[in-house]
Parts: sequence; C-alpha cells; structure tokens
Amino acid sequence: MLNLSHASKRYPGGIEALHDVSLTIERGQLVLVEGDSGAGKSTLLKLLSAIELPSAGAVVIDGQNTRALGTRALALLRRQFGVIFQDHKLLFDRNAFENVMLPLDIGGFERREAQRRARAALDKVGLLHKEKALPVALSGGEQQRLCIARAIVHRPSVIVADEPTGNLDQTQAERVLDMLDSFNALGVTMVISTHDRMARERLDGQRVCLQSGALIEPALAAR
Amino acid sequence: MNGWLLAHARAIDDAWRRLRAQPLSAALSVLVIGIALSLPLALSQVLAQAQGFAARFTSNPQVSVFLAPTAQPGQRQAVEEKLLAHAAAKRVHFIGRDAALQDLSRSAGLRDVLEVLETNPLPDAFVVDVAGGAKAVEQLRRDAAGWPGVEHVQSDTQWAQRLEALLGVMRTVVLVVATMLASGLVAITFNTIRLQILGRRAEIEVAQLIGATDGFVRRPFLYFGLLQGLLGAIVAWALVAVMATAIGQELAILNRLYGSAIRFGLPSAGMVLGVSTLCALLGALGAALSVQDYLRRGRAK
Repeated sequence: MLNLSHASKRYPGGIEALHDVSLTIERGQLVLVEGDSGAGKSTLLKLLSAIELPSAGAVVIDGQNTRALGTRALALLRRQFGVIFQDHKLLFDRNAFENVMLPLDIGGFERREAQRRARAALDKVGLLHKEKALPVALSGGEQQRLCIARAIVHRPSVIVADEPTGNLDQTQAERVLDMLDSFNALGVTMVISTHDRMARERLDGQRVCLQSGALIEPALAAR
Repeated sequence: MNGWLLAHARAIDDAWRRLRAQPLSAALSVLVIGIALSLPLALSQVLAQAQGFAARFTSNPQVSVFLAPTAQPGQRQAVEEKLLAHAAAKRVHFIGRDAALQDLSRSAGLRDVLEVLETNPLPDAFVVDVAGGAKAVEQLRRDAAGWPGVEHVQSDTQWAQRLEALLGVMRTVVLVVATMLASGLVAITFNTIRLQILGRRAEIEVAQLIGATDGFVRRPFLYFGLLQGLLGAIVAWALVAVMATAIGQELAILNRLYGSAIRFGLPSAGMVLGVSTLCALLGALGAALSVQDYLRRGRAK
C-alpha cells in the first residue's frame, strides 16, 4: 500500500512542486494522475517510488516511512518498483538486452535466470528480435517499450509510469496502454501520470487530478 | 553462488572489462604507478643490503691494537697477557706484520702497489673480539692505548656504527619517499576513478533510480583501483628486478676485483607479496575516496 500524508515537496531554489497532498493507493489498483504540465505529476510519482523524499509530511510504502529510511534501505525499497521514465533513461552505450539486464544485475539475480527473464521481458514488449540493437537504433515507440521491458523485468509489485504515451503516435500509444492495462490485470499496482486524452479514455482506473502542486480531485483524498 | 559472491564476481568482471576497454590509458596509469613505486622499493633493497653489511660488524665488535714498530718481544708478550686478562676481551688473535702484508696483497688486489715498497709498512697487531657493547669497546680501547709498546688502538666498529647511523637517516628518507609515493598512488587512482565516474554518470544515476545501493555503485570502481594498484606493484617489482640484474653484473666485477661480497639482491617472496597487497589496498582506497566523494556530492544535490 502506498500512502501520502500531507506530503509537500520543495526543491532547492524554493519552488514548491507539491503542496499538502494526501493520497492512498491500494495494492492492485490502477491510478491515473492527471494534470497540466508543471502540475506536479512527475514529483508525485517520484515521491511514490521513493526516488525523492518529501520536504514535509510523509510517504509510507508498505509501512515504511521513506523519510525515516537510510540510503541503503531506500535503494532496496526502490527495487519494488518498475519505473517508466518520461525520458526513458536508457543507457545509450548498452544494447537493448543489456539495458533490460540492469535491474536484474542490481537485484543480484543468477546470470542464467537473469538472461531468461530479460529475453522474456523483451519478448513481452515485442523487442526480442532487437535485443542486440543500441537504443539509438530504435524508434521512439521502441525506446518506450524497451523502457517498459526494463521496468517489468524484475516483476515489481508497483509500476510507476510517467507520461508513457508522450511523443508516441496513436498506434504506438495504444500498444503501450494495452500493455500497461494487461500488467494491472495481473495484479500489479499501476500509477500512471498522463495528460493524454486517449490514455484517460482507454484506461479504467481511479483518477487523481493535480493543479499547481495541489490535489483537486477528492476521490482518492486521504481517508 | 550466493548473492554476495555473485555481486563481487560481477564487480571484478566489470572492473577487468573496464581496464581492458581502455588499454592505453590503463597501461599508462599502471606504468606511472609502477615507476613511482620502483624508486622506494629499489632504495629499500639497497638499504637492506647495507644494513646486513653493517650488522655483521656491529653484532661482533672488534678492537685492533697496533704495536709500535719499535716494540720489543717482551712488550708484545705483556700486551697479549693483558689483553687475555682483560674483562672485555673475548678472543685475542695476533696478526704479525708479514701475515698482514700477505693478507692485504691477496684481498685488496694491491699486489702491484705493495711490491714496489722496499719495506713492510704494516705493524704487528692484535685483533680482539670484544664481549659487550660500545662501553666495553671504549674501555678496552682506553686501557690498551696506555700500555707500553702500543702505538694505536682502533675500534673497528666505529665506522660500522657511523654507517648504521647513516642508514638510519636513509631509512627515514625511504620511509618519507615511500609515504609520499603511496599518497601519489592514492591520488592517481582517485583521479582515474573520478574520470571514470564522469564517463559513467548516466549509468550510475539510472542504476540508483532503479534501486542500486551505494555498494553496488562502489564495488566495480573499488576493484578497478585494486587491480590498478596491484598491476602497478607488479610493474614496480619488474623494474626492480631489471635494476638488480643490471647492477648485479657490475657488482660482480667489483666483487671479483676487491674480493668483496656486496650484492643487490632480489626481494623475498614475503616482501613482494606484502608490498603488492599494500599497493592493491592503496589503489582501492583511492577508488573508495573518489566514489565516496561522488556519492556525497550526489546526496547533497
């Protein structure tokens, strides 16, 4: 379970990206975070996946308050998540297969099992035939799918996707959204930020709306 | 293989691949470390030889009592009896002037020079092995100097003691140079790793975002520093061996001419192992400091 309690995030320089947000996300839920650019969606996702710590308030992930955790515990907590970054964050000097292997290397998986899982993840996103290709040789949609393969390869309990359909054409976007929906159908908790109308229409989940860093959709406000 | 071993095996593999991926730059770094380390190692070898040489004399102090050319046989007899009765004398050995001349012409290759002399310039002498330390030597020297027929008393350990004092200074110099160069090794590794981190920053940042611990980030760099230090030590020992071979050939000629046994020996296996391990650890230390600095800066952001 993910829980934000009066969480705020102020970045160095004084910019408050998130203000007093309270939110609870249950296991297996699909949550769509909506809002315009600069509304605080990415910051909310970073807090939920323990990439950033709140400046005030608390973020509790499976009973662990992220502000109370040390560096190592935070790193271990992040392994529970599969993160699909808005800018993919692929390693351009490594091929598709090696990119997908990264979370498994970090998780200390046995080499043969890791390779099997990496190929299965690439197969799942339709990129197995391009396992040796460098990211620069992949299209935008393929890079996005490679990022999804890296996010799911270690079978996380939560997938956090930041604008997963941004910059994709309609066909590619539909393919990605179907993929995310299928993961949720398998019981994976999904938190997806988007301002894409098609994504909002295609995905059936709880909606959270942010405006200027504050929650304006009451449906999931703190209970 | 358990997770801990697997993580370390991967880190070693990663470090080795990184080293091979930049062969020229890695070779230059290793060479710089090797050359820097070879200097104190070679000096320490010279020092070890010199210490052994001095120790042979200081551990067995001797006093030479030279008789006057005019000394009568009776006086020689009296000096010998006094020496034998002296508390500091352990063993008394007489060397007649003719025997001394023969020894000199044999051992120092001075036959040609000595042959031109019309008379034997050497005096009769007693060589006394002294029981006790510097005080006993000094006591015997002072006593014997006043006996009739004795012209000069010389403590053979004096020069060895001076040499030992000089070696003490040299030991300190070697220690200081070694410490400075060890710091240099740490600094070289620190900088090498800093450049590597800059080249792999994107990879490290992504890895941290998806759950890499500090240990995961640090490990390959530590092994890189360790390997670099170890290879540097191996290069240094190889250079010392080359020096030993080159100098050894010259020393052999010198030893043949002067009947001496001075050698520039190779270090013991224990010393090679110890110094190599130390260099490897210093390399790892430089790497650890560099990664720690990067991680600390990252957290500060």
